[in-house]
Amino acid sequence: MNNSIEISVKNLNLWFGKFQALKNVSIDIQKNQVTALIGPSGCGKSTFIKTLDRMNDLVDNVKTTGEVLYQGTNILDSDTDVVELRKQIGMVFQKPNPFPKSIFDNVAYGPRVHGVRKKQNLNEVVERSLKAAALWEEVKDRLNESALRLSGGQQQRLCIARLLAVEPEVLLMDEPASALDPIATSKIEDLIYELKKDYTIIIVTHNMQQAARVATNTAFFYLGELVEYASTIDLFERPRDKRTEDYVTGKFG
Amino acid sequence: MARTRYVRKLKELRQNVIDMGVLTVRSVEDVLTALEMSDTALAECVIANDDEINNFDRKIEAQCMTLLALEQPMAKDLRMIATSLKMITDLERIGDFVVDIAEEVVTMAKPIRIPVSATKFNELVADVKLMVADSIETYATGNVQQARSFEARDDRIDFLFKNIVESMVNALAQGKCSTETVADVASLLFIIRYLERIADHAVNIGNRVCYMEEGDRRYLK
Amino acid sequence: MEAKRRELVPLALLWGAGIATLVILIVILVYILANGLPVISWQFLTGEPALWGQTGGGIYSTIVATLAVTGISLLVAAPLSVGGAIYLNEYTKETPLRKVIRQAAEILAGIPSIIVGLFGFLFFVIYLAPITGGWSMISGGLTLAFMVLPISLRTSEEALKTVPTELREGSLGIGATRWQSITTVVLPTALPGIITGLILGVGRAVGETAAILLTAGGSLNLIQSLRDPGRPMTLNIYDVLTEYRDTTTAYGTAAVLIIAILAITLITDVLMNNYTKKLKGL
Repeated sequence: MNNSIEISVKNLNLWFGKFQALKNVSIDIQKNQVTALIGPSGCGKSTFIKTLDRMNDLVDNVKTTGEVLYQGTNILDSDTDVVELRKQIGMVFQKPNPFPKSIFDNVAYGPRVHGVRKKQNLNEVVERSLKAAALWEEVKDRLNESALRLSGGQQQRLCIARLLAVEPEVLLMDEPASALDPIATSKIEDLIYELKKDYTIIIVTHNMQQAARVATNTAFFYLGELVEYASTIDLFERPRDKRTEDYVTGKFG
Repeated sequence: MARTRYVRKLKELRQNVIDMGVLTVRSVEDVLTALEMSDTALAECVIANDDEINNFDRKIEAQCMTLLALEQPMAKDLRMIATSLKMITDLERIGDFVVDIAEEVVTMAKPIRIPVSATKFNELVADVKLMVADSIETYATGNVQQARSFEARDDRIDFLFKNIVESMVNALAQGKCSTETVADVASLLFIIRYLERIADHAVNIGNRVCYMEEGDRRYLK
Repeated sequence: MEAKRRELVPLALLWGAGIATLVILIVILVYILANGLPVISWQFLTGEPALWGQTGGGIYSTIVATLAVTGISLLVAAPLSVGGAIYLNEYTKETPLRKVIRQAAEILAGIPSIIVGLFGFLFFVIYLAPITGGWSMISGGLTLAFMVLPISLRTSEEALKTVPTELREGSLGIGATRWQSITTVVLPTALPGIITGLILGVGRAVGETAAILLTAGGSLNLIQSLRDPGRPMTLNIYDVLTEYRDTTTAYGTAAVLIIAILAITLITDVLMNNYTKKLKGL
């Protein structure tokens, strides 16, 4: 792993009230690679990923210590421009959440919110983003239809297109395919593989095989700790920690 | 503990491989006894028993494929299955070489006379027999130390092999052999060649066991 | 079979309860409309009320008065309740303050209207007389606003709550500010619920009598400005019945009121349904 580092996390601790959800997590996320976070339910992987774009701010009673360094600054600082941060580091959620607007308006939402007004520019951005999300061909003739009429898999790709429209650097994906059928899942995985050329992608998944299929590096979380972080093949072929071994062989519990 | 059925299937696979190994070891021992005792009947027996080894090969391969397809094994489980798949090939090849030796024993004139120093020959035979048995033992016990010693032991076997060949060739050249003995020398040369190859396969098994236990690919060549 | 038969009794009772509601509504409607519809005519609606002491006449001034107080109450209550709901739901966390505000709204909703009217009388009619004009539409409208506010605050908050968090997360997740998310995603989605809540409030305002009694004045004259006293339709029914035993006008006014409320409710329903369908892309 001698690539350059996109995000560097140092000694991250997080509490929900009295409960410590993340314990001294340190990890370097490589640029332009797919990093998967795996682990059993409640191990902290979703909490971790939400820290990276400050989405945990929406929750009551959260305390964080440590550093998350991105582009030279610690994004956990209170004077960070969170709105700007979320433009750079965007998130896709488990359940597709298209806005109740047209397909076009969904993708154009981001650029519009950030000040793009001219129709021509918007058209370009929308087309470019939908193409990058492998959805253009399927929707180009019905951009004015409601986004809610798309299938689950299409909606998820729409959400990805919506994200790409604001030109982020990092894509965070919280179990992006878990609500989708196998074919839609494959399409998303193929898309992720294509996108990694231009973006750094971090994906949380409880499906180990998915992590095995798409990720270059994989991190195993357990009870709030980062137990092991290695190249995917190393983690699955020869894990170092017994907890990792027990988890990937399914012998937990 | 989760996945109890899966864990049981893994244990069954491992046991089957060990059983196949034990069978192979016995074949090796039997054929070398047949050679020592000039026992044609025993040699014929050994040839017939090769079917059993081949059956095991097929059965275990099917078991491995099923586990791979249906259980998505990972980490040590995955390495164990991969090792088993490759190892049964080595065992099956050892079985084939044993049959080759047995066939030589059948065709040789009785009693079998070795025209060169018996000590070196006996040492070679003993070393090979032991190494095959030890290779199965390392698989069963996971004793990586023991497996790592195979390289050195194989070097010794190679040395003995070359040595014996040289002696026999000299004996032939110097006309120290009678006409019956000459034919037998050819067979003996084949036999020790087979023994040397059997040893190589035992070393392979040892290396695979190291990979299975520790996950380091450098053991595999 | 035994289970099926046992199911029949509770089923029949429940059906009866449901039907009872419908029956009661129909009875009231039929009675009022049967007596009131014949009274309605163009002249009735646009004519001036009869002079003091006489029966008959139109209800034009009362219609205008109703519109005035209802309009004022809506104008005041709508932004306060929607704004308050947005503040409570979108900007604050679940602190004690929020619970207190909600509880206060609920208590306010439960205060008998005559008491709210009393407050309105003392505060708007007497104390703020220079501004409101004493007995006036403004006094009435503002008092009514107090009655509309808790209802629409509650329903607006509920409407906002039904907007799934994922939509907000999706919007914030691409770098929209909270306000942008609210105006472009949350509010449009919650709009049907909010509007319905406001209409409910309007319904209450239109039908309110006790508070109006103490603040609006009761004058039959057509209002020239909002600082003039007036007599909304509900007050008119009370007045003509108690003062003149003018059942005809009473029925007529009642019929007009009921038709108006029915119309508003049904139209709002249809409009909101269409809006929701369009939102969902159906």
